[in-house]
Amino acid sequence: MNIVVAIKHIPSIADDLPVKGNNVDFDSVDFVLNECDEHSIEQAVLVKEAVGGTVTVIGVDMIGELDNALHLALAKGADKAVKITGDDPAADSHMQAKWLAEAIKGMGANIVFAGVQASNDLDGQIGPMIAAYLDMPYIGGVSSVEATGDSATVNKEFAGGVGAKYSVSMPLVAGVQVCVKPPRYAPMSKVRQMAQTATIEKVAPSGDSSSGLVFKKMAPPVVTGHAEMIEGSSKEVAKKIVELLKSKGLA
Amino acid sequence: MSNDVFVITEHMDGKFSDVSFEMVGKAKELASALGGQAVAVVVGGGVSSNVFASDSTIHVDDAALSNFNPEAYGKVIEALVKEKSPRLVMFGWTATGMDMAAWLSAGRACHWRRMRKYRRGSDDELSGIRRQVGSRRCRRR
Repeated sequence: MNIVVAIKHIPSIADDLPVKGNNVDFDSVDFVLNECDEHSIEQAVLVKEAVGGTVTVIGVDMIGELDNALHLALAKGADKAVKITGDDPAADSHMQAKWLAEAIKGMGANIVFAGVQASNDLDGQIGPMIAAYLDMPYIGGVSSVEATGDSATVNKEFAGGVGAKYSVSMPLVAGVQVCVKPPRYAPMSKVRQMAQTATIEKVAPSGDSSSGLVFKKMAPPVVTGHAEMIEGSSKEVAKKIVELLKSKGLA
Repeated sequence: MSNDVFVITEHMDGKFSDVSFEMVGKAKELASALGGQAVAVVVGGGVSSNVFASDSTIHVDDAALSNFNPEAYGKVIEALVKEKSPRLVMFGWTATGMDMAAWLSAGRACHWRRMRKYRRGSDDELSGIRRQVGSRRCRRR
């Protein structure tokens, strides 16, 4: 089984996003691996462990710091790592998906995994776009994958906790929402070992695509209200709530 | 290109999701400003499609489309969009919309906007506001 995982390196949302002009200030923000991609990598390694094969992890190097994410993926069980030397922190999903699709095209993939979404998917997710560019079927919201022969049985999550089982012909692209098991832990020693010994293949970006999207303005949200904390004993709090409801004409 | 606004509605077990009705409401506003029609698009068999207050409804009614299938639904919608050439196609940001919108946008000569509020600009411009990563808000056309 030839398994490819397309990952996204995205601006960290752990802190407030720095804004410069009409976009994120890419010079002063950390880039991290998209959370769904961690599940995507785990799902790929689980399929490999179940049926054999190889896992290739590939991503666009947005700011020249993708190696850490690739070394981590290798430490978790991926066999090969490829980075597309995009060097454009503002490359949108359409652009990244096109570059990824062009690079994946010659890999003979049976399954391409991608995270179902990323926080910077302003112009859509890369999974369905890679599927469109490679003319493969796509299914997203995936929470489990079993590969058998030339098809895969996947579970797709719908709203309200509803799940549905699909049989999908290979080759296919699957957007992983969550893996059946939590992403495994890779010890730092193993990650360091990969950093010292592993080879990351470099691929130049190929192809062009446009989302038609132009940023006009980016700004912090306007504060429209705030919460009032009611202090005191239970009785005092209850009394104040009653007064508040009466003052609003609700009691 | 027409000035129509298509809404790709969603249903499960014969019941349409709330976002389908919300989108139709917004589509009517936008279509009215554009001088086109708000069109509810229903893909699927065994569902009553006469529930929307849109200007018109297109129902692709086939038993084979009773359950959501991203590939089949996507190809049906792609064919419709190519034939009718609407100004805007609206999907819900949901388990079904997410499977098709980006796919349609990538291969099929549609541009993409993901947003939570809309305002019609001039000519080919559509502005939207959405929460950006880290609770930021951005506006784009």
